[in-house]
Amino acid sequence: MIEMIDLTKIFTIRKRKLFAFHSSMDHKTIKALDHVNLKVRPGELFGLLGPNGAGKTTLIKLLSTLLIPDEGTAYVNGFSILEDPMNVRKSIGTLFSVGDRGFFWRLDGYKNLEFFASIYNVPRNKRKERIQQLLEIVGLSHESSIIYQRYSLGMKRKLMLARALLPDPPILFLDEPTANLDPISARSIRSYIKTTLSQDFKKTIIYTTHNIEEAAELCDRICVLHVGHVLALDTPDNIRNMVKTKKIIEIVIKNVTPRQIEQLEALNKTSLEYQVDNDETNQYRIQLCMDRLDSLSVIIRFLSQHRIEVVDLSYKKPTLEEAFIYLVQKRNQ
Amino acid sequence: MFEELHKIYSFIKRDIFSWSSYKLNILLIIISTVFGALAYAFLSVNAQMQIVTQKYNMSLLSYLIIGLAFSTYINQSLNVVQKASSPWWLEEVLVSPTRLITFIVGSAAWGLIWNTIAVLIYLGIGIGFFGLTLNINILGTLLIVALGISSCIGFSMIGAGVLIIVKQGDPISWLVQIFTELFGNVLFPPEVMPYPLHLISYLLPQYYFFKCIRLTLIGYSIASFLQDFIILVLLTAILLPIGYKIYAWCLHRAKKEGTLSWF
Repeated sequence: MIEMIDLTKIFTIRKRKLFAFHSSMDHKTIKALDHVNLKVRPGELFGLLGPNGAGKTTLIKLLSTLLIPDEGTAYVNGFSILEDPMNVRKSIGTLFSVGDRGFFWRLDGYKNLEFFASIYNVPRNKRKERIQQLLEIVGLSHESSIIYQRYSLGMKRKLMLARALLPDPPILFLDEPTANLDPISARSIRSYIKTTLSQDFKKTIIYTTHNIEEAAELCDRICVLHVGHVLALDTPDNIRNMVKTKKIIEIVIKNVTPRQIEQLEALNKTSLEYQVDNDETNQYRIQLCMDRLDSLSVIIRFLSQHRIEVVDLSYKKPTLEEAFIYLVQKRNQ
Repeated sequence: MFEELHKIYSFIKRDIFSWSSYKLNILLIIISTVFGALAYAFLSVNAQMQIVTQKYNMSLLSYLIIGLAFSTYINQSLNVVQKASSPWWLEEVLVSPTRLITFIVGSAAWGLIWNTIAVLIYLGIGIGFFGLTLNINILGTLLIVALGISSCIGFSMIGAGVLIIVKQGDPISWLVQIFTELFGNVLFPPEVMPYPLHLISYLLPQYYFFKCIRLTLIGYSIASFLQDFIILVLLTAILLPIGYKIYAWCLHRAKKEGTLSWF
């Protein structure tokens, strides 16, 4: 379980003037996190979603004890990040989004993992097996003897993920784990995180991403962060439904006259967009934009009365992306 | 405890693999070590310095070779924590369940092993080619080396702490390095300098380290230079915890400011 209580982080930005010392420095403070209260349940795959500068990485670093909060605290696996950081570190595996730092460039992939296995307290008799297993999972088993500096960005990312999983911790902080990965590798990693780590091994995972659909696909709940504030916290479906836009129904109809189209437009009262789909069969693709779905029954009745053939009918749900943009814009207003 | 020792072994293994991947560099280091020993040996083989004979009861050659050999420990120890605290990997190590002390000792270990090899090369050249005679008190030597290294690691931790805050330019190590060269008793006794100036030497653990190590290598017992030894112990006992506290405080401050991984 992870609990954040009024977690606040303020950064001071100093604007230095050339050849000037302290007296002439301008200070500016940025609240990267502002009294964030969140609870991540045991075994939950929890998504952190937000634009650049939302505070996602700051939050992960606070929970990993690499940053100290200015206010509030957090408990990771029951241990306080302020009072018991060593036990917090024993409970977590981390993957940060910062470039390709943290590895030793003259060592190969295997030896890098061997070093980290030691400092992450992986039992000596299990190290070799664990490293080989992880290299297999991330798809680096054939490249494990190549020195790190020859790795591509994607390979480095995979090695980072392997390192995060090395100690087999109950809690994982994954900061954009699929960044720089090709689509096939990204899909395979996502599937491993969702199926094996989350569903089979019941790991508690905080997963940050910019990719909205990725978060929707993977996460049990999503927290939308924006400039240090929690804008929304719910399941992906419920977050989608927060969008207060009009309902969009798309109908493909056949054997319809222009006059009937006008009548439909009048019936819908709000707006109707149509395009000719097929000239020969008089097939039209009509998008009805309505405030409430119950006005659809009037349209259906009209189509039925005039024996207009319905070829297809679909309801366009708002995407999570639309929800995200809606939430951010609402906050900015 | 055993787990921590094994972590230190992993640091050594990591550093050996990294170090040995630069093969030409290894060759150049060994050649420089041999040439350095030869240059100082030829310089001093027929020369004398009265104060050396009086104060240390040894030839200038012995004085220089021992100073040169053991300065490798000092130079390495003065910079070890700064190198270990590279923002390139500092976060990755600090996020692991590794104690700060293990991290520092682990980072220093391979350098110190290599320094021991360099010391053996220096002393071997002195003994093999220039008739350097030693009567080594092994236990005393190990103890004094441990104290010398520890005191300098104390300085190194202060320097590394400053470096973590200011990011570039470490005035502490810079100053200590300069003072070591001038007042550290490495290549000449500071007593040859004008009176008030050489008093600075008495504040530096390096002065006592080189004095004690020279005497113990030619067969003196610690009891015969007890006063210098005690001062070395005291300076180490002051520098090591102060250095550790300052380093830990600076890490804490960088975590507070969010600048741990900044260059």
